[in-house]
Amino acid sequence: SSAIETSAMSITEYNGGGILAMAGKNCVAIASDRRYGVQFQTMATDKNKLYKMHDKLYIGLAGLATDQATFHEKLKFRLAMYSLREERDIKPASFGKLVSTLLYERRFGPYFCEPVIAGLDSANEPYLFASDFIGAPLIPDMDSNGFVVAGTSSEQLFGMCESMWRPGLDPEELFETISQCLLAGSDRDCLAGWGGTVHVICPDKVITRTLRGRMD
Amino acid sequence: MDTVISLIGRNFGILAIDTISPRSIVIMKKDLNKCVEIGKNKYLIVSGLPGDVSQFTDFIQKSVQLNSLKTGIPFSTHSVANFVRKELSECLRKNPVKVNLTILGFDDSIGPSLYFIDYLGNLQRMNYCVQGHASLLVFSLLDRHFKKEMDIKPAIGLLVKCIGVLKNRFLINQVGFLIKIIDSKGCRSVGIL
Repeated sequence: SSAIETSAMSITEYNGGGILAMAGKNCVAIASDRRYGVQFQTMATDKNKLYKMHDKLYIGLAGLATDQATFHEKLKFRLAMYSLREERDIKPASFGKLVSTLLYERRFGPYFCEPVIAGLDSANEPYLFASDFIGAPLIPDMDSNGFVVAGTSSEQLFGMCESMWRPGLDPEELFETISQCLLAGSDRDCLAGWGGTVHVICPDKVITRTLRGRMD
Repeated sequence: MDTVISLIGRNFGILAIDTISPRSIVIMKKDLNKCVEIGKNKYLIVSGLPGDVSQFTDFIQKSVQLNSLKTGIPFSTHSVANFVRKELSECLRKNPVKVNLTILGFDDSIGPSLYFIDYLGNLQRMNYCVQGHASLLVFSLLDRHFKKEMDIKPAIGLLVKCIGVLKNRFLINQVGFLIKIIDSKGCRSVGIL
């Protein structure tokens, strides 16, 4: 049926989106855009792409929306089983390995989603993780480039983060920096944008804010 | 290609759905009711490849009914939507089904809710939604004129505007649009525009 035609876009660009995470001093922030689109048409402007795993661990999923949802459901299940068995919350580093393994399990029929993980470990040191859709990990060096990005606007976000990030940001400065990077980065990507959601994870609380950007 | 325009108002959900059944260049039936009732307070509208549509609709309707008989608990709209999403996402990599769905329901605890699920299994809860090629013409009209918590008369007025645009500019003559409402009293048909 003609309704199901797709143009020559890659499957990871079918829905679009941009996710980034940044590290500060004893805090991390993770941010995503809010567009839910089907190829070139925007269907909704309040899609949630950031998922809370526990109080100090958030994951953002970019890529095909159905695989984001399916993969998140798998992770939620695995984490629930983990916390029942181990009677504690999972460490961010272990969670990163878990995500990597789960994605590689589907090496020859992959989930088309790219994860970005932001968390605080038990010493409240920031942890960042990103991978491609088959689980190749990227854990950045916190002293020189404490940020990770994913999604259709990843190149724009890389450029913004490279110029604006510096080590040792406190929560408010981190929020400002990550917000400006997200908004500027997704402005130039037609498949991402329509505002943003930011979670700043501090040792005692999580600050969640919604950004209003160019709504186009 | 089916057109479904649905929106949420104050304690009700309303939808307009076209009533033609086309095959190639011919309209086979002009008064087809494409809304399927699930329980007493949910509508499911499925569109896409004809065989997949009838098979998937029956499957969902009967599965939900079976589950609510087994457990004795009637399903909420949120559960039905997530159940459909799960089935579609599992089908995606085994036996793909090319259908898009709109689910409009009313729950006593949360009021009306509207979900759109596309053929890949992307689930999104929305305040208003257009399904089909008509979305290219009608969505922007809804962006401009939709307000939250509308009453029934303004909502029908908005649907009249949307259908007017389609009758004016849409290539396909979708002869009539069936208007249906779901609220705390259940599902009912309002008329044909």
